Amino acid sequence: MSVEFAKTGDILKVIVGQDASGKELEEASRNILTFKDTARISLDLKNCFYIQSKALAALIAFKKNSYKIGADFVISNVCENVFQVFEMANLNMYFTIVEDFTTYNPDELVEKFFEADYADRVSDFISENMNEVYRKKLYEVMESDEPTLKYYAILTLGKSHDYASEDMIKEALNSDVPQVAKAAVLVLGWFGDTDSKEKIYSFLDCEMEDLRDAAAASIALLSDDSDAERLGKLLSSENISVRKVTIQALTLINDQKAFDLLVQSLNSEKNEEVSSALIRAISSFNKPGVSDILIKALGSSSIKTREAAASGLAKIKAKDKINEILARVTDSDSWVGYFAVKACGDICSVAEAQMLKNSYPEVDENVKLAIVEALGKINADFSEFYISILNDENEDIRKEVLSALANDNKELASGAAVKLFIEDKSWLVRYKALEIINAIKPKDYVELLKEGLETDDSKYVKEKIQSILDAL
Amino acid sequence: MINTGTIKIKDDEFVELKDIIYKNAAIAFADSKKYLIENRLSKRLQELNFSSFKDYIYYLKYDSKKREEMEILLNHVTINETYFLRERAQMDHMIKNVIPELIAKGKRNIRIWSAACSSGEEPYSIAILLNEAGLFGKANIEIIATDINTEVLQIAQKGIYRTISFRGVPPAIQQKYFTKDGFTFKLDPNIMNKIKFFQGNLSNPMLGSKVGKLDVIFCRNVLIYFDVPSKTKVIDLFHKSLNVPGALYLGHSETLNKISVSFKMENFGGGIIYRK
Repeated sequence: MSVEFAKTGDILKVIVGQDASGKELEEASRNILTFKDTARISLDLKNCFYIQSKALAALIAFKKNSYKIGADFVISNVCENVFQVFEMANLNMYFTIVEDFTTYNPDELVEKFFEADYADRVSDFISENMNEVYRKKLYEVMESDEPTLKYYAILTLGKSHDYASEDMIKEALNSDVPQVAKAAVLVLGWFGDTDSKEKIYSFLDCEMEDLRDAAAASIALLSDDSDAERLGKLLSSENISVRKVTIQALTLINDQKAFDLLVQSLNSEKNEEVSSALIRAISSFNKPGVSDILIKALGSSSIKTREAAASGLAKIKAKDKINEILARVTDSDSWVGYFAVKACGDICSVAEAQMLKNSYPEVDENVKLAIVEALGKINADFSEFYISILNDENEDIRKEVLSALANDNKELASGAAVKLFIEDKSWLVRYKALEIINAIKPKDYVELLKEGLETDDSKYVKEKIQSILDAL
Repeated sequence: MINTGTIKIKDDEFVELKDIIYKNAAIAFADSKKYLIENRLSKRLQELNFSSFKDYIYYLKYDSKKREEMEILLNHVTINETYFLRERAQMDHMIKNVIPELIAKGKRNIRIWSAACSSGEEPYSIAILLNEAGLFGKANIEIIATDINTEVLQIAQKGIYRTISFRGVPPAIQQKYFTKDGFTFKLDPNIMNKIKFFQGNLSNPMLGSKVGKLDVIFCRNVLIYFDVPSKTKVIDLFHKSLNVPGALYLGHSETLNKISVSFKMENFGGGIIYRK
């Protein structure tokens, strides 16, 4: 049959076959009126790889008739081709389009592991709805030689805590396909399988970066008191990749011993890339002395290290180092300045914020953007400053000013947002203005949006307006 | 690299980033693909010490090395998984019908373009099948392979593949053309030499003059990422680049319906061929 109905609870699924004609769809759209006690109607297009223009009118009838019986209407499992037809007809904004994996049988679901766009979500779906049928299918896949299917089968079994599959997954550690071994490494880490730890250690110096990363993560999960020391020896490996992945494992272990080893390694490390990885790692420890290490690294001759240190200071919110951080706002590398400003934004006082504001004219554009953003986070009124730069030539400055104003002074922000929504030549600024208008909801804003829908020349702004109006 | 998980992208950041990608590669990311951007770029953001996509967008706009970062961005978002002899029926159709027809008409120089070759599996598959059919001896066949992504092109030029690239490949073909080396398989240099690789952005109108006139074009599973205006431009480029007679093969789920009427569509049973 070209159109099938399936009712489960208060949800009605209408499954459309590829051969369904416009006439059959129209008839089906009328039939839904008989399903009175329905909360949602889901029109499933999983079998439709193209759609005729005539059928579009029937889809609109579906939506109208759904509302007549008080049901929501969604269209599910729309393939790319059909979606593009919706776009051409501007119907993508009219319909709510969702994915609904419940329509697929286990074979079809597993087949979707081959589609990169779907694989992760299908894996999540199966693991959340694991039952004997799905389990049997995944075990079947585990016996196959297909690496992609096997990779996702292992991850799915892991996510659903299927401990019965542990032996099969251990076997996969010996796979000559790195991707399959990677999945096994990850899942055995989740399972807490300490018996596999030795084998997992052997992947730390393998060629494939993803597999090395997975090994580091699982070693951390399986670690005991002896592991930090053992990993510490690998920090002096001649292989840069091994040093980097060891840093990763020690970071995840995150105990005092791991911290000491990383700090010790930073003192002797000569490679810039590894040094900045060490700085990033150290900044993720909540230990006394971290801010001192980062401040010292701010004086490094390496831009990468300075950037990592400034970013780390932003992350740890080092209030006791505010003066040292402020001094870096005008660093010769603008990204150091950028991160320094971001660090200040979360911790500085009004007086220190004033210093940030004063440095605005002498810094690069990216640092200016960070300053406007940072001032917006501080509990002080800089409205006058914002208004003075609201007409800046740089569209990103105007956008940031709107955001900062919205934090500081809602009334001024509302007026500025309406003005820029109507007048600004940059769609980016109009888009931001629209977000602020929608948040503040000034008087007559719905009329303003409706007018914008007619006059704005940016499809992004129009889509946003449409989604706001739909929600209303 | 310490992977602290996926960085979430806000609506306004997604819209701006997809606009940047569209302007540079004509690839249109639907809203449903937000997670793909997050998954593919979070690690890059962390490498650059950024904690939000806004930071990254500013980096793309204001850093002195923004051109290099744009290439890195496009490399991250244009990766398409492929494998040898994928959708083989179309290649067989070309080998059994299109190429013999051209030779029968007296054509001695035949040019084939793999327009989005990714890591090389498609053009190498074409070369392997042409070799199996003994067609290299019957005409001077040139295979050109392009992709926007410079990283996948490097993989293609090395000719070294993992097991995952061989799903569904007959063992006899794999043994004949590849040498196993640990976890990897190295392609026969005689096949590698048949392909000319270079970087090419399908949204760049100058690409046509770089590739020249052609007899067959393969552009499969790529147009689905383009919006209608971009598709139309690319198909127009293909039409101008093809000789008469010329053949265009698209992916199974791709169609020229509402895009172009310049080609004559023919269903050969195993798929569709668009003829000029």
